[in-house]
Amino acid sequence: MRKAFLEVKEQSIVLIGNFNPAIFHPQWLARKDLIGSADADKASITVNHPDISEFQLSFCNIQVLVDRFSITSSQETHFKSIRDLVINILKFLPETPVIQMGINLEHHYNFSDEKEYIQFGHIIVPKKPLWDSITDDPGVEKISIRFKQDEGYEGHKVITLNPSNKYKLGVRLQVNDHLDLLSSTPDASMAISLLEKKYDLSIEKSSQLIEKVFNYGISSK
Amino acid sequence: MESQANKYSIPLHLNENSSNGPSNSIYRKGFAKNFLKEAGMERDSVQTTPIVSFPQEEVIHHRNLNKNTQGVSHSLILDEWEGCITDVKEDTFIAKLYKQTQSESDLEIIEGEFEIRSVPEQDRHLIKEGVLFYWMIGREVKETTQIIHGDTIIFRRMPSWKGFDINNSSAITDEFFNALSGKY
Repeated sequence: MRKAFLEVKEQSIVLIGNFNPAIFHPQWLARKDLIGSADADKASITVNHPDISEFQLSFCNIQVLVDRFSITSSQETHFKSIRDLVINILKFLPETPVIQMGINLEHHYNFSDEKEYIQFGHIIVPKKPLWDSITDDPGVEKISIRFKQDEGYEGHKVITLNPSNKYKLGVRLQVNDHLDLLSSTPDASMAISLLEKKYDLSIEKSSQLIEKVFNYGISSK
Repeated sequence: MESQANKYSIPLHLNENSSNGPSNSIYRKGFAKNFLKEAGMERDSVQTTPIVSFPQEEVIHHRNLNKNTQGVSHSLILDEWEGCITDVKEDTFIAKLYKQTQSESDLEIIEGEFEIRSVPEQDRHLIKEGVLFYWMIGREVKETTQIIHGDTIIFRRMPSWKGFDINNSSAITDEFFNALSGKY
């Protein structure tokens, strides 16, 4: 039987720039026809304030601070919807300065056996000879590897491994595809363009990378 | 992190399930920045990963950071088609559907008829000739106890498209139909 199963995929888009949190409200999105009216009516609002806006729709969570916008979904069927939603929001607010963007993908794998779960961490981060000799019963808490952005783009990528916050014997592998948006005009045009051109490819590459790491961890001896 | 989060968890008056616009709250000015700093979660300004959700009354636990994802359903796609509506009838609509595969030459095209009542009421005004949508077959896990297999139709919402986009969309639609008619 397989050692672990992919249980959850989570996708998020994070924008760094300048935002007006107070206007980000489910009813505003519905009035612009960016979401359905039923979605807006059923939204759960955590807070709506000049400094923070945070609410949950049926398919995603949205959080806006004065310097950060983020949207997260754990429904793979809506990964493309959150891309379209962000593009549409930015097209309605084209003067919004966006200087950085993160396209993030994470997978949560659930192990059925504790030994396999621990072994996975040992394979990805071997404890011999260093850690076993200087610490008692070492385990992986979090590791991150930073590497180059794809050719033609400014920024970097980071893959992170840590225990899952969703499963007791789970591991979380996340790729942060970080893009610096270098533009002569500090507006949303570059972010829109990158989301339209790069989003699908970013998800595909991140997914492949995560699967390679996971497969290495469960197959190597 | 757990003890810090406990210390700074702030009981708040919250406006749950409201649809009446911005609510009055007791969040003070600068709350967001101060909360993150005091809770030891001040972020690096160049980090573009999601940060912890803001607390309501519950405590934030070390391995339970984002309570909003706890118990909420999630889904995984088993199969996916992209569709374009070609005809709308009284109770149904017809669409050409194609599946993206690794190779463009393997493009698989089918025609399907969908019941309008299978589309959520809030999306039915989007059913028009030429509209693009995704038809996905997947697995949805409800609060980690119930697993539902089924299909879902998700329409692409493009209300903000302007002149440039519309011109661009014609090209995309032409390309789409060329693909469907074998001119790919």
